[in-house]
Amino acid sequence: MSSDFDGPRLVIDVGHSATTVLLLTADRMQLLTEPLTGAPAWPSALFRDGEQLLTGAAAQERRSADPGSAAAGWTRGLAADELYLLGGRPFRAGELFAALLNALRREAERVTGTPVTRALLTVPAGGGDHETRRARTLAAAEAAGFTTVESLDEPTAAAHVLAAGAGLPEGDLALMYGLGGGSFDATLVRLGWPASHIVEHVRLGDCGAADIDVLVGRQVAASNRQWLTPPAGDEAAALRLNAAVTDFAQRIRHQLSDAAATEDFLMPGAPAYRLTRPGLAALAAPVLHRTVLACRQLLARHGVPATRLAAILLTGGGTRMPAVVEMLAAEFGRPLRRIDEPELAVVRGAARWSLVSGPRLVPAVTGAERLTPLVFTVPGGAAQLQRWLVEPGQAYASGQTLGRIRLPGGALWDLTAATGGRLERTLSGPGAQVVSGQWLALVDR
Amino acid sequence: MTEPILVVDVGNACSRAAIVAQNRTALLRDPASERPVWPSSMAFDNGAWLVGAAAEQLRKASPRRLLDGPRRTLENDAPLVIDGRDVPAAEALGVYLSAIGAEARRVYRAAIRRLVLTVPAVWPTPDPRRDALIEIGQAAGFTDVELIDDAVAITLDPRSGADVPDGAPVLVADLGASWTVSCVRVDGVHSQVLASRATTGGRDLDALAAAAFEVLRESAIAPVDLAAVVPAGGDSRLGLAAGLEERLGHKSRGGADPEFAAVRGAARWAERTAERRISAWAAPWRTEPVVWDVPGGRARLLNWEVRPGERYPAGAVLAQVRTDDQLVARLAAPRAGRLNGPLPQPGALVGPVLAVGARRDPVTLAAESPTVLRSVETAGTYLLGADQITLYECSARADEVRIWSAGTGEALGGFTPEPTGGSAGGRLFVDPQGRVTLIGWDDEMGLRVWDVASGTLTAQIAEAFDVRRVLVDETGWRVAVEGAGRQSVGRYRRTAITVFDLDTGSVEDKISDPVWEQRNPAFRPRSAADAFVAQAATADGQLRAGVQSAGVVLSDPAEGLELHRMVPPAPAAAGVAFVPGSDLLLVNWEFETGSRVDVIGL
Repeated sequence: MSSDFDGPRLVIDVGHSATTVLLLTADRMQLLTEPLTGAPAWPSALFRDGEQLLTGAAAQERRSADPGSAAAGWTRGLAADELYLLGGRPFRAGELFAALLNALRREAERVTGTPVTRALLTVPAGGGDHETRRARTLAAAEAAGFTTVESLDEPTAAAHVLAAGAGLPEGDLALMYGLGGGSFDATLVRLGWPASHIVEHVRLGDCGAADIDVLVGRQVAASNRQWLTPPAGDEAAALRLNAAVTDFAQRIRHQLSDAAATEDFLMPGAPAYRLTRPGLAALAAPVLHRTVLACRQLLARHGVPATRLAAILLTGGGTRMPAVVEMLAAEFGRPLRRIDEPELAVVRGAARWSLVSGPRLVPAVTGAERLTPLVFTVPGGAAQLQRWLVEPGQAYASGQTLGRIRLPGGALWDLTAATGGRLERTLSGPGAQVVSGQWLALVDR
Repeated sequence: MTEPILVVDVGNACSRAAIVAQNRTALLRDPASERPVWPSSMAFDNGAWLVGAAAEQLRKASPRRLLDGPRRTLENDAPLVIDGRDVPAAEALGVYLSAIGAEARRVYRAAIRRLVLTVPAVWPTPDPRRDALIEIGQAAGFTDVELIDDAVAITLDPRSGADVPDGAPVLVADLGASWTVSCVRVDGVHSQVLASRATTGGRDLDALAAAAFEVLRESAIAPVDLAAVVPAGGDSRLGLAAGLEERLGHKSRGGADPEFAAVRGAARWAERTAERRISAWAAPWRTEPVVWDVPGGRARLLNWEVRPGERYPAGAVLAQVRTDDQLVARLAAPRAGRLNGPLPQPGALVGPVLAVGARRDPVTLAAESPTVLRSVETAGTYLLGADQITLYECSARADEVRIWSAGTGEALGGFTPEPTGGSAGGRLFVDPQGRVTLIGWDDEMGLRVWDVASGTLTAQIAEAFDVRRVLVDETGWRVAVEGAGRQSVGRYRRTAITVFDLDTGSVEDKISDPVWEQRNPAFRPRSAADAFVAQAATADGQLRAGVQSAGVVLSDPAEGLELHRMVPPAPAAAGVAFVPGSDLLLVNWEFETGSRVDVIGL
């Protein structure tokens, strides 16, 4: 009998630009770092190399030389399972997802030296497209060789990061501000232990740090025009230049997390590009203002003035930008809580949830072994259960009518007891389709 | 049948209704006309609905308010327009049925919760119109709404005289407001419509015959194979029947009041609710339910961790499910066993309760003693029938035979032989035809033979006198009586054996041989056909029961394990049997003073 429940498991947060993974074994929790760089996050990019799909830093590296064989930002196409062309060959978003998960599983197996078949994946909350995305996530994980796959919505995972504690009294309200690579999540929570309770969550699926990079990239492009003109008709060169600008913009943004101003070269021969923190803040303003508006609308819907918030918790890699901190401080004037590695908040919360959410072992109902199934031969094989004429817990005599079924033509037939007994549990309810030989109820004789 | 039932045959022009209660049927009269026919008309007058004759009377005063028949309305699926107001068809029909229901309750003076409605046989099965009709009936206040095809109802009409053999095809020509021909396989409550179609191209014999031949072709029935042709409906009075007879080569069997054939037949159907009953199966052999309350009430089955038939220990994970909130939960086994299919397939939705069958592990019997569910006792003897479930009890003096179901303890029958005086005895045997037979003897009457099932005396042997022992050869159907013959004289009676033929009662042989019994093993003091035996095994070979000197031992042959030992309170002979298809073991103990049968649940 195989059960992978006690073996190692992965907690995976696949983001727009970065994927973070925790490896949980019986006695410890560790980050599954990117094998080439040792970085805590894996780039979510994929690169087609012949018959192979490269992942992580290897894919990221090859992308600058050949962007046409790479896929980035594909998580936005998951719900519709969009097609991406990698070096002329089409891949579905779900296939790319499975390839990435497969690489994560193999790396985890290399680290642990044992099969890793259990995974917990974080997914956006809500119905509609998100429901579809959740289903694709489960399917991709199964295709990637995981046999026991669970999913957890991101706000719930994040709510396990922010628990009541010092300075955060239980029952108070707090706002979680999550700026990821491709999306923004605002969650109003009521502080609790071991997790906070979600009051409401909103998501902007087209408003992330990557969208700020696009705005920075435009300015970079404007100031380097003569260096960014590809030879006429060379599409591959155009793609390469575009990818180079995006990567450059991201690098500039990351540098400004630690420095007040930065100076870098798009290309060795190009003039230096300068950007200061206020300059980045100005460029990012259109994106950040949308996030603030979403937060204000969320608070207004619940009649919560900003002054009632015990704290604002920053999650997601995007919140490393000083501009975010400055803007939130100015807009809401509430204490900001920062965690060391904000891009790991969701994956850490999911791991904490998986530890506190119970053993998932459902014991059988005790005493059922003395019960007997109630089984009938239905004329014509199938019918609809109309109703039960005996309630669970009620005793009945031999020959008594226990239930009534309707045949497809509309005739009613009665189900009767062959011997006396007591109805313990019904297994089918009114309106259910029933067939000959099916267990309809359990009885005590 | 105790519950009252309202039967309504909704027609396009006229409807008919009846109340069925206490096995009697009474036609329901339209209160406005006092006639047992309700016009299928409705009208809206001063904010209230009128139906039937009341609506018809209003028609004369205000023709604009006349409505279509409810069924035609349902078939067209168009709303009715009354004084410029749209009324959904379903609502209109609901009002019509409610009004008939209210009149029925007024006449019956009690609530009527069950409704039988006739439906056009041309509606296929299943069909959304059938569902719609059921919903309308329920909305009109009836808990149980039942549908019967009008053509089937007509064949059930006692006056149409369609008393044909079960399974026979019958052609029904329903010639009401619309003309329909149906072929029905008549089989009591199992009757079904084989094919049905409405006539096209006019209301004449040609159209009727064309529809009849089309229906027969669809049913794959040749005209010569029809058991009957049954016309019904008002137009069947037109004399078309004779023409149809000629075309089909059949004499038709129309009854009186053909307009009422459908409602009368539907009422007969309602009277026969007791026949539409299905009794539960016996519990499967040593199968026990394993039951889980599915977390969150609903989940998708991911996989079974053990295969059916594979042995698992207590606490083993048997299956994994994914709950609605995307958790994967494991379902654990309460105790050791083997899954005993069928099981829901991976991907199936399960909940709120998931119950599957598990074969009880024989080893569990070693830990938990089997329980004696019931015991029966007699001063006489028992015999178990060949079905291993019917238990025959013969009193010590052979003056009473009772028949029981060993499984349930239910009395199935019995008989009391004519009582006799003097010392008497008897025992049950099985004749060469497999019939259980009582062979009784006494001083006055000699030896008598009864067939137990019918309670009839089949032979009497008066010469068998002063009987001491009786030995029966069940194959040759002979009896050897040990005793003093009538020919003995004086005080010195000699032990003699007389052999009689049990069919004729004639003497076959007279012997005085002390070792005769050993030489003739076919003659036995008790039945060799008794299903109580010394060694028995279950059909699947999982369990064995055997009579040993110390009592009865239950064992697991695969593991070579003794699971349980039953020791009688006093010295006794024993016989054992497993009841097929159930988890019962029967043990028959024969003591000096009488017998006891223990029914043991495994």
